[in-house]
Amino acid sequence: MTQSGPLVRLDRVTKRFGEVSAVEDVSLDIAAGEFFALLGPSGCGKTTLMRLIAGFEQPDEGRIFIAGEEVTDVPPHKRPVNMMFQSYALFPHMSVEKNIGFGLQQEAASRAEITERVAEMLRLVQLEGFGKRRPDQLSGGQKQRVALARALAKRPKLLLLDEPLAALDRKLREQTQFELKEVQRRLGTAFVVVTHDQQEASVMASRIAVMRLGKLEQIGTPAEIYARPASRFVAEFIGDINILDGDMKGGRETATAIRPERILLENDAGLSANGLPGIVDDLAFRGSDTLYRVRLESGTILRVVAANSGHRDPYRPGDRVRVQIPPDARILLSH
Amino acid sequence: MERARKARARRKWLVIAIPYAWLLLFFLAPFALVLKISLSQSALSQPPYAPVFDWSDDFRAIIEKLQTLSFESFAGLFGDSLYVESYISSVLVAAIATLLTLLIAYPFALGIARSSPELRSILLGLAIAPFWTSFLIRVYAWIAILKDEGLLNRFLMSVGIIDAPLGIFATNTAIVIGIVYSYLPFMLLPLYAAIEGQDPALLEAAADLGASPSRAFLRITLPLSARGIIAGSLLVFIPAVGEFVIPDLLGGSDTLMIGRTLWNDFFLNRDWPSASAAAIVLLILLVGPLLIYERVQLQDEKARA
Repeated sequence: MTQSGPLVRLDRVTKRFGEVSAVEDVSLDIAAGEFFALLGPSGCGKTTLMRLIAGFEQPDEGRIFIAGEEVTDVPPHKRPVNMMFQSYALFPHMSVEKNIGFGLQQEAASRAEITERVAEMLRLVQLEGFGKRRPDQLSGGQKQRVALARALAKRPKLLLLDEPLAALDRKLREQTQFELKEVQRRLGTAFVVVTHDQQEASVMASRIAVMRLGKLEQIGTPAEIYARPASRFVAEFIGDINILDGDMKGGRETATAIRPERILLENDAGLSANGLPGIVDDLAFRGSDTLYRVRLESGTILRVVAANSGHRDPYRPGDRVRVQIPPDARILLSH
Repeated sequence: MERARKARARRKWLVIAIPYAWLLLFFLAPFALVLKISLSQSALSQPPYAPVFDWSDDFRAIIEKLQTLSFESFAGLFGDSLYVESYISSVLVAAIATLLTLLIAYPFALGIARSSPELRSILLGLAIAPFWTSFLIRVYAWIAILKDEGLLNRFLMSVGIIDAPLGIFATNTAIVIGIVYSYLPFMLLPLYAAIEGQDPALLEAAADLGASPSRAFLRITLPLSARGIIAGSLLVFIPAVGEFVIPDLLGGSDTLMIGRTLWNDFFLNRDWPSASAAAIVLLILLVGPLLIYERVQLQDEKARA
C-alpha cells in the first residue's frame, strides 16, 4: 500500500441492474482509519456501492482500488475487506467462537493463534463467556456484537457495515453507535457504514457521502453537510429545514433554506419592529426544545425550534409573534 | 366460557383421534394378524396355517390353540441362509442405491435452489413430472432400456463404445438403477427444501471471510443441509429395502431381495408363517431408521418454531 494514497478509491464506477443504474458514475476516496458513512434513502444505491467495494457485485464501468491495488475483478474472498451484514449472517450451526474464528481458519492460522484472537475479540465486544453459545441462544444486541467481532477478527484495513443498527431497538441503538465509534477509534480500522438514518450517520461518521438515485449528492463532514447542503435534497434529508420561495436566478430555479433552530421568535408586543409578523399555528413540546409552526402573513408556514432553557413562557397557538431570520442563516440552494 | 373451552378440547381430541383410529384399523390390526400368522405352523389347509381361531371357540379351545403358537418360523428364518442373504443383499442394494441417489440429487437440488425463482418452480415441476405416469409402466420402460437388445446397448454399440451388450439387465445393477430413478424425487425434495431455506447472506459472509466457493460449500451449505440429507436418504432407503416391483421386473432369477423372497414364500411355497415372520423382521429392521427420521423431522419443526 502506498502510504499517501487513499485506502479505497472508486473511479467513475457504474453498476446497472437491467435498465436501472443502481450506482452511476461515482468517484470516491476513503482514507485509512476514517469513519465514513454512505447515507441515503432506500434505493439510492448505497448498499450496492458497498457491495461493489466488498466484491459481491462487479461494476459495469469504472475501477475500484483498495490499498493502491486494483480489485475491480477480484472475487470477495480475496479482498482485504470484511463486512458486517445487516442480517448479521451468523453461521447458525457454529458456536460464537467458531463464527469469530472462521475467517482466521480460512487463512490457515494455527489453532493457538485462532484461540487467542477469538478470546481477544470476545473481550473487545464484551462477550467473554459467550464463546460456546450458538447464535440462536443470543439476543439481538449480542448477535450484533458477534457479527462485529467476526468481521474484525482478521484485522481488515477496512470494515464495511451494512445498516449495522437497523435490527436493534432504539435505546440499544444509541448506545451501540457510541460503542462502534469507540471500537473504531481504538483499532484505527477504516469503517464504512451504510445507513438511511442521518442522525446515525452524523453521530458516528467523520465524513458522510449523501447518495440519491445512484449518484453522490454531497460529501463532507456532518457539520459541513448540515450547514451548507449542496442541494435541496440534501438540505431536506439532513435534519429539519424550511425551504422558502423558489426564485429564478441565471435561468435556474433557486430556493432559500433556513434551519428551524436558526430562526428567532419574538413577542409581537416587543419593542423591536424588526422581523416578519406571524401567528403561532401549533406547537410541539419536545423536552429540551419546542417546535413551533408559525404562519406568516404571506401564508408560508415556518418551522421554528426554540430551546427551552429560559423561564419565559412558551408561546401558545394563536399568539402573534415576530420572526427574525439572521442573514447568515439563509442557505441558498441552486438545485 | 368454561363449556366452550371444553367443547374446543373435545374437538381437538376428535381431530387427533380420527387418524389414530385409521392407523389402528389399517395398520395395527393387519400387523396383529401378520404377527399371529408368523407364530402359527404351516399347514396343508385353507388358509395354509394352523391354528385358526374361530368366533365359536370356547375358552379352553383358545388356550389350547394359543399353546401351539411358537417362534419356530423366526428361528427358521435365521437358520435359512436364503433369508439371511436376502436381508443382507436388500440392505446392501438399498444402501448403494440411496448413496447414488444422494450423489445425483444433491447437485440437482443445489442447481434448482440457486436458479431464479421463476425457473425454480418449472425445474421442480419437471422433476416431479414422471409421477404423472404409473410407477409400474416407468419400471417396465427400464426393461426396454436396459435389456441386451435394449436402447442403451444399441446406442452404445452403434456409437462404438462397446461391441458386446453390457449385460446389465437382470442384475443388481439394474435394480440399483431402477431404485435411483424411481426414488430420486423423494431425495430431491427434502434436499431442495434444506438448501433453498438457507440465507444466501451466509455464503456471502463466508466468502467475505476468505472462504473459496468450494470451502464455503463444505463448511456452510453442506452441514446446513444435513437434515435434508438424512431425511431424503431415509425416505429412499426405507422403502427401497422392502422394494418388490423393481427387483421383480429388473432383477434376475438369482436376485435376492427380501421383498421377492417374501413373495415367493407367500405365493409359491405357500409358507405363510415364514413369510409373515420375514415381514415382521423387516419391520423391526426398519424401525431404527424410521425413528431417526422422526427425530430429524421433530428437530426441524423445533428449529422452525
